[in-house]
Amino acid sequence: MIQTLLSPDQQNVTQRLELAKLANLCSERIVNFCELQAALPLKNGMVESPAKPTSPISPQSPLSTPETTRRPAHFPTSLQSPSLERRSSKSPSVDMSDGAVLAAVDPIKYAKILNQRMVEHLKKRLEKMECSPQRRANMTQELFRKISENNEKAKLMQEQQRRRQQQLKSYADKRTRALNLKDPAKKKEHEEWLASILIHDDKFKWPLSLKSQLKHENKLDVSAANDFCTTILRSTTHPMSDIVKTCHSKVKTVTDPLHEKYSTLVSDAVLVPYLYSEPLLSDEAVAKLEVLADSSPEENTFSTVEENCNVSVDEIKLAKYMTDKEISKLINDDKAGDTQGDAQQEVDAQQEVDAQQEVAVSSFDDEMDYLFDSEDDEVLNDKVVPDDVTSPVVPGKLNNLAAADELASKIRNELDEVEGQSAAFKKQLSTVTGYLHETMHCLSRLFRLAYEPLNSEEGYDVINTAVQECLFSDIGDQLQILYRLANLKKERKMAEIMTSFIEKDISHMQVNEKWYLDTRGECYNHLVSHLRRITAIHSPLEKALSCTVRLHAGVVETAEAFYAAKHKQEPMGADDLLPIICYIVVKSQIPQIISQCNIMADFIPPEYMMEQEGYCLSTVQTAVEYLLTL
Amino acid sequence: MAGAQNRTSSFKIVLLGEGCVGKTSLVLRYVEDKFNDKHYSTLQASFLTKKLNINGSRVSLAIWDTAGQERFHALGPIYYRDSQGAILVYDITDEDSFEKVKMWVKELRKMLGNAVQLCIVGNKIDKEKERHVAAAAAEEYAKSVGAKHYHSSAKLNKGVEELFVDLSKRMLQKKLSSDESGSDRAVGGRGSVVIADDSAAPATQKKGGCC
Repeated sequence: MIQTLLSPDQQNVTQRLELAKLANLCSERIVNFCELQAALPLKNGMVESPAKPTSPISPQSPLSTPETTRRPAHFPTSLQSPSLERRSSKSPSVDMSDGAVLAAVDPIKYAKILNQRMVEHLKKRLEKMECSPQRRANMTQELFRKISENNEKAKLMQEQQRRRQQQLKSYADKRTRALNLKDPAKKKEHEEWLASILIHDDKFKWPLSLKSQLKHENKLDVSAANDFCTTILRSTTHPMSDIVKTCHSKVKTVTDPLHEKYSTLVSDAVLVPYLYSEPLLSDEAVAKLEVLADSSPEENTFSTVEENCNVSVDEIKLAKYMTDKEISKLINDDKAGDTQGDAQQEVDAQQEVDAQQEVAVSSFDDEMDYLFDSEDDEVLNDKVVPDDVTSPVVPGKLNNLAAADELASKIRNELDEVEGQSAAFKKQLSTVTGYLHETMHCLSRLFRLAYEPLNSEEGYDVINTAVQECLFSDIGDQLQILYRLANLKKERKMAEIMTSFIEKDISHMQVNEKWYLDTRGECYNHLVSHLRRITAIHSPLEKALSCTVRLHAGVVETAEAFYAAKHKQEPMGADDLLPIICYIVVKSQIPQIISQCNIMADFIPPEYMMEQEGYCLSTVQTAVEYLLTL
Repeated sequence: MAGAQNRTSSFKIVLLGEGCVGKTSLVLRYVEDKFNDKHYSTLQASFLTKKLNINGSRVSLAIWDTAGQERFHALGPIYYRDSQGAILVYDITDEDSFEKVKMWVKELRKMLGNAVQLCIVGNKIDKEKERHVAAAAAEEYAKSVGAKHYHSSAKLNKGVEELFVDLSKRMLQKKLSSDESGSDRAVGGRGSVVIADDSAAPATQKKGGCC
């Protein structure tokens, strides 16, 4: 149409001017039309597209390629993988500016973006540029042609993708059959997942290029394989990362409300020393708490006490919690609201300190011993009891005593109430473990199906490690609280038992004397600290490997080194090992060891239960059960 | 599925018996003696693994030592669950230790049924003169409960190797017969997923050209 209008036959100046106007109008309309077309979904655009170039790029075009079309990228001819740091823990994200990737995901969408960009560019150019209507017309026509071209390419690519996907789907179908899954719904689910993995990898390429690096000289590179699995599970696009996310959100709907409601109560109350056991704190115990409050009103004093007495931070936390903050809170009822916040802050701050410090886990030193021996009938060391314990309590302090007592009973009642709901918690727990198991198995199968190099015994270990790491990292704390709630009764009991052992040493655990190693068990203190770290590790397999197995190996090594120095060999069998483990567990002062054992027992794959992971877990479980009978 | 028989069979053996009957020495003797290098793991004598070859079948044993003290008795199931073999050790000079074995037999049969292969071992035959448990009676008892009786001396290294090899054979036989009778075997265990059709994924098409 423009060509006709611009026929050189038109000579008249006026006519020319009008023509120019008309041409402008036309080009504007075409631009508008292009804009519209570029924005429309392909099908509509294609139907109305007047120009259908057959060759993707027409070098014979009579018109010089305007800059407009040179700048915006053509359709990519090959898909580059997004630059990926192999060791990076960050998931590979799809960069929207990376045309290749976007084109791979959705060619239509990419064409649309490209077209819009071209239209905008041309519009700007036309506004700025003064050029002949002929040139304008040429440019708009060229734009039009390019848009159609892009759309055509997109369509072609989509069709190609469709065919390829079909191919991959039937392949996925074939592979999934090998799993022999009996449940047809499950089979279908796996088929779909596998197909979507294959399609994803076909589009994005990076998993395939990473996969090709997994084997070196026909041997699985374990560290590369671990990175590979982690990268996939943490990626933003991979279907398997979606499976992880779905599982997380399912788990969190159950655990989040519980965590919010109970985590403070459980973590602040069920610890060692445990002050909420039946019966109520004896007058004597309260009096001793009172002394603590009196002797350490300032935080500084506490740190001094800590240094001097080597008291565990948890113990101080509780003492402080009871004396400095909570008691004053209870006394000044009207100020309750404000101080509670403070108390919480205090506890939080202390927890931070916890994390930073190497927690001293040795028992109270003599100076502090008398403070928490509510149940103990051991004779106190006279020399360390300050005189004012026996002196009459000053009237103002009586309030504190009552307040401490009241607080203890209040917390105990709360705990009783929560404990009463354990059946409900157990039910929720079984729902959550169900989700997690299903996801773990599914991911493990898919990894082995989709990536052959991982389909081996070493691959199985790598997959398990990576899957557990990713699956549990975001939900570890919440899950732990749910376990603690379900096991609250046992953990309270354990807290009491651990409290009663604060002052006792290895000789109270009926350990054969030859394993005291000259120091009444203090040589095992580093292992006690080691065990305490179990709560900070989220992956159950990692808990087993780096905590329980390490713990056992540590005991054996410690004893071996001790005797090696004496040029002796004393092999340590279970008869000797178990009592030492009991001693370390009771000294670890973490009642949540019960939950920890349950988490490991629930999620360590059965194949590991025959190995040392299983053995060490069984020993710790036995130690825990034994301690509960004391 | 083919080739499954060529794979290693793993067995868990639990070692039970009163303290001081020589459980630990027995197992250490076995693991030390077969080869010269030390085979025990970082856990030393409490948990040991051993690989052996029985008539061409590869067998991997995980030997779990347990604490023999009375106070831990009730917690035994934590250790012996899922074990395919149990070695119950008594001291031939100590009748009490034989009574303990009887107790263990009862418990294992009750909890694990006939799935577990029981070995009753009279240890310390180097102290034959001080024997308090009659060999014939022990043999008879073992027979009556479907167990096998052995004599050993960890000190003199007598009967140790035979005990473990024989037990391995029995466990292997049990496994093969239960496999044949079609008992379920977990699919998707530690081994690889067996792919029925091993044809490679369809070759990636070359992109480019028209695009």
